[in-house]
Amino acid sequence: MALAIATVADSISKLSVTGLTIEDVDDMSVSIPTQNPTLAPRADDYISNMELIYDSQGSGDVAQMTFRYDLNYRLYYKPVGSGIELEAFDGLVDMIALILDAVIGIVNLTGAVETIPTGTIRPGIVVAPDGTLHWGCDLSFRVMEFIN
Amino acid sequence: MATGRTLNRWARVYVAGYDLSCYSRTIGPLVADYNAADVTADMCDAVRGYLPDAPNISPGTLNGVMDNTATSGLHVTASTWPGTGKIVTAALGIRAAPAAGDPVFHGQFQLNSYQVLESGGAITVTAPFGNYDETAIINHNKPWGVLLHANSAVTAVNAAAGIDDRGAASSLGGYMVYHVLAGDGTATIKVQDAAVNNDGGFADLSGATTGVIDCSTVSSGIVALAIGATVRQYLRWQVVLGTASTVTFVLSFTRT
Repeated sequence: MALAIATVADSISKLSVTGLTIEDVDDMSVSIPTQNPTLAPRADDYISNMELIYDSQGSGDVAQMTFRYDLNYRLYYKPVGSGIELEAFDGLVDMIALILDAVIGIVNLTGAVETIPTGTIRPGIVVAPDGTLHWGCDLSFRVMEFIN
Repeated sequence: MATGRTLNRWARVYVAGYDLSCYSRTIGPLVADYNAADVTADMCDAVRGYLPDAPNISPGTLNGVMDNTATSGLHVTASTWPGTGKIVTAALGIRAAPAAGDPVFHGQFQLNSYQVLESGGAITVTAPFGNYDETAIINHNKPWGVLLHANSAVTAVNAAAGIDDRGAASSLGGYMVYHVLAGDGTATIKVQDAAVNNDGGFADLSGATTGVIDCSTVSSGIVALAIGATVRQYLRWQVVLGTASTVTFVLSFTRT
């Protein structure tokens, strides 16, 4: 058995979304680039809601199991400026839709049996690892893997 | 062809030459259920003994979404089918869209009813199939086979290697099931077998052919081999294009 969380993270980083940079867990930025919107793994809460179900008899090294978990990302759409920036909110919502389209449209994501968006999305102001504020939101993807 | 477990979303359903997959939610249970005939000799046998009688074979119930898309929608097609026998192929892709070598459940079954109902706000369809169509009984009792050609268009003969569904030749015959979904003329769809899995090793499997059919019309069929027919180890699809330049079809085969 071998969980493929790193492989799934790598596969997500390779999704194609126009205008978006998606970071892998092995190339995360402390200072979020400001040129393009960036979707980055949440270092404080990357894996959550784990659920392991035995689908067959046997010990853990041989039993067929279904493993589900959420991978949590933070979208940094644009640094917060000094004025009223409602146009940024409009662009943020458009970017969220593009990301969801890409995930919903996944046919086969290397490492995962199924990957779907999950949870609640609250577009607004988010904090980057370096403390800067960005327009953005948190996004979660529910991943299913077959083990053994 | 992958192996292992899979999900419902990789299943595909073809009925009477129509791809109903994008209207379907579930199909099943896919059943081969033998009646057990009690042949116990009470004055002698220490335990009750049974022999398998003829099996009930059925693809169960097709649950789908009501859609009246012209010609091919689930409502337009299946609403006219109750009380008639239809050829059904349920192909189970293994964590991917069905490919050659993947398992299929197929045969000709009566559609017992067509029911439209509300489910969670959506208007849905429940279409339970019955057992094997009495008017189309074949001399083979295994409903599970393998996919030889997934749903796609073909414009040339097949020169590729085939699949090994059994690991050895068999000598109990079998049957092919086909659905022609689209085309622009006549063609012949065939099963070929081989003892060596390369292009040169394949030859037509005797009797496993549609004959020349008009592929511009949606159609489906089952072609059964004789009981005792030899089927070599490797299998593949083949097509002979007549007036057609393209044919879209699904082909599967069961060894008995």
